[in-house]
Amino acid sequence: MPELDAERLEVADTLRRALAIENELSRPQARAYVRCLQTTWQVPTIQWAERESFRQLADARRLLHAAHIFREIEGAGSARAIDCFRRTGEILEWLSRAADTLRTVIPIELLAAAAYQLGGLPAMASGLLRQIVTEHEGVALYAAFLKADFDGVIRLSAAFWNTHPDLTASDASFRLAEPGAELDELDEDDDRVGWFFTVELVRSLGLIADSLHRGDDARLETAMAKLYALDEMAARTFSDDASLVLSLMRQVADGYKAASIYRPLIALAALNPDRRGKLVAYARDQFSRGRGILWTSQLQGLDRLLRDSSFALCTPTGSGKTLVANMALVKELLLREHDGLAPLAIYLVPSRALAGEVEAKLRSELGGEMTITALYGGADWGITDYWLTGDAPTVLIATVEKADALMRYLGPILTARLRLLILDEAHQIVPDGGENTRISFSDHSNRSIRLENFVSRVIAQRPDVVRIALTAVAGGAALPVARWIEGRRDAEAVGVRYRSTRQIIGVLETAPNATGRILLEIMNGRTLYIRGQEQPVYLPLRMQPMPQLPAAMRNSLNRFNCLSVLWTALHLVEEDQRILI
Amino acid sequence: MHTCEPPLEIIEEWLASNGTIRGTYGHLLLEQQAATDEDLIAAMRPYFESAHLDAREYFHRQIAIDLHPDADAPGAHACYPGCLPSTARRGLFGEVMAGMMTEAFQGKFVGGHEWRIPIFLFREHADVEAYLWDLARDPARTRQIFGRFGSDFVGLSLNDAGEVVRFIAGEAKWRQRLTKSAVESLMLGPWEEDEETGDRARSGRGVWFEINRDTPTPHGLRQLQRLLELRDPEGYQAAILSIDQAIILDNAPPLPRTNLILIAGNGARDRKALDVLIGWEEALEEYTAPHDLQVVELILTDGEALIDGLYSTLWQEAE
Repeated sequence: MPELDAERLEVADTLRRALAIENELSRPQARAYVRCLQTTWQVPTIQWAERESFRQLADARRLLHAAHIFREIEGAGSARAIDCFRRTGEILEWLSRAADTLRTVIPIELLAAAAYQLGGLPAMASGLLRQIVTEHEGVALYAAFLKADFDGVIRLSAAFWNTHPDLTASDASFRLAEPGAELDELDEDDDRVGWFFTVELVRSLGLIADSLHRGDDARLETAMAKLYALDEMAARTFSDDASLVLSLMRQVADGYKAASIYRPLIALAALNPDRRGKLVAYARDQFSRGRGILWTSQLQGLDRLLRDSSFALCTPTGSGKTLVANMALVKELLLREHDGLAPLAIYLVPSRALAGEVEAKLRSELGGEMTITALYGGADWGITDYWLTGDAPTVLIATVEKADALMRYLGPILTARLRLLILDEAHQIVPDGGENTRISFSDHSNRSIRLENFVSRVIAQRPDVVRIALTAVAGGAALPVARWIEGRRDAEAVGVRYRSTRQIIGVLETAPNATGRILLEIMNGRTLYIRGQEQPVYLPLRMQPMPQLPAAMRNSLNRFNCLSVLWTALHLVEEDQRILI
Repeated sequence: MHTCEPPLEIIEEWLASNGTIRGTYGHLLLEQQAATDEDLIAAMRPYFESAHLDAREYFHRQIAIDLHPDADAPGAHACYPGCLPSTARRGLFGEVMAGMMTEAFQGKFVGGHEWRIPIFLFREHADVEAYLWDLARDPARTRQIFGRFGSDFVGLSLNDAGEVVRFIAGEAKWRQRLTKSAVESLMLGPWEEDEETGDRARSGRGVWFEINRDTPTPHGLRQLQRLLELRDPEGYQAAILSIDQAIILDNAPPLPRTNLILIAGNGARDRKALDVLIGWEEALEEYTAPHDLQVVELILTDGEALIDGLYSTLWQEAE
């Protein structure tokens, strides 16, 4: 490590602390964010000067530089680099969604999406890029790549080759770069090197998308080597913006390569090499569904699945837990050798609605490989049900009450086949402390107790059954759930504080004869505040105040509030905004 | 890395120099006094090869990777920068000259700083970037999409500890014939006609505009740093750190900057000796940036012979 690396890190961290703490906005950032929300909600925006846009852009560039230092020295997984990338993505997204004029000068959406990807927030990248309509085919291609839309990349590059069939010959690239060679009506004055670069970039991105999709590592390596070389070439010959986009795309491509679903699935196939073909087909299918690149939370979950049997996975809603559950099903039901009896998994869900949803998902992805059946309620099963005696691996999705009832009737049949128990929303095992809980304890209707009771009985009968608990982050349930599910005091949950989208919780403040404002209080589960200030971030809703209400309405707090919310919502709903009251 | 010293002796024979420095403004007039011949080309070639070496290596590295599914061994022999069209080569020549003149005449530059160019950036592809965003080569569609291209040229002044204490950045332009109107177009932008009044006026988007609006720390410095990280991270670690500080820190003292404008080309037919294109007494009012300014006018008589002679013979011996 060069001796000045520590100082470089300190320089980068100074900026990170000033501009990129997750729940802390600088005052200019808060203004940029408020302006973005106001523009999105189509209410008049705060005063904003062009120099403020340039200032934000300069901050975003500085953060990218800091992220670069962190990654150079600490490696691609640097948590501090992730902070910087996330805030860069946010700043640029705020400018983009505020329809800032910088959009026409600098490819801010591409930079924002790349920053989100590198910050481990791929859904934010695609969310932003989905809104971008561009007439420029190159921009469209890079946008498709940056949202991991590999089908889109292949489609756009195929269109490019259709327009330039002469560039598909095996010697086309070389002839393009060779002086004097005639090709595609290029003449001496055309900058062949620039055109050559573009053609090669389309080739690389198309090939990367295709080889990721097919899990073809050898071709992927070649395409990546080319992209690296193009990036290095761009750093020497292109403007900073173009070379920055290239460099970030290259890093995003590295991330795709590391997060491809093929890697863990092929590792899983080592358990049963005969099934490798099935797993590869599953991986390809996931790519077709746009889910071939795993999120950090999924990678961690699958990593744990490869190493261990029972564990708790603790990540927020929308972090892709289902995939880990699916892979656990594949591992325990399809890859393990079984002694004659078709293996069974019980997938416990907290509600009937969720049972239906899980059933549909599982059937669509694994329906060809195993019987998927759900017990919802009422008399929807009988002793003659096919799956009870069939010889196919079976997943039974049920609420704890249904599973409990079933176990009482068919205990021995089920436990003999049971290999895997998946508990969705397993934090429910930790009861709330409240009056309702006390009552439910006393009348034996408490869900936590039922769940614990059921699982304990299963474990008593089948101590070797594999247990996987999926839990939400909030409430501190992760550790107790992990210890319980693994049966070890030193157990730890697999978890990242990761969510694929941004969640903001705020308070609408209203007053008679005045326009309302929204206090933005919580961002991604943490209190949001402005650096160095007591005042929270608030969003003025510059809309017409609600007309004076009759006395009977305005003197009732409840009625006034209800109508104020409705009034505000009616103003926000005008342009395709979805409002849920 | 670029390590070759400028060929001082031959430059002295080749060019007559007249420099003035008034406060923060330096003006250097360089007039060709000896015709281009084999000796001049041979003396300059090592410097040009050294300047182009880095870009050449990377160009060749990427060209050697063939993505065609039926590709076997790399078959082509496109050699950078020889494969560039002549217009691009002229641009590159201007950039190398900016470096060579900065290193050779540093004593006559404003401030008298010691300059070095560790690696040359050859960012001569402004219009070509349209290809990248549009995936098309159709001239009708070629227009600037995203456009802030930054300075053409960046050099550094390092102290004994290897830290960057000042940098020089600016524009290096080649024009075949340096007439008054060509230089005005270059500096003030091309003529534009007002659609309503029909009045013609300079667009204002020329070298002065670019140099005035450049960010305090030019983007080129970040690119230069990246190349230093790739090529010699140990040797330049102090410089790398000082560029980090200049780019990132809010309260760091800004890195002092010298702006450079180099205009190279053949003199106008009616030009007389010692005629200047940009006033030498004081910086023009068009210049509004707060930094030191160095203007270099490189007036040649047979510039094309030199450019073509050089670029057709780079690395010939090795190949």
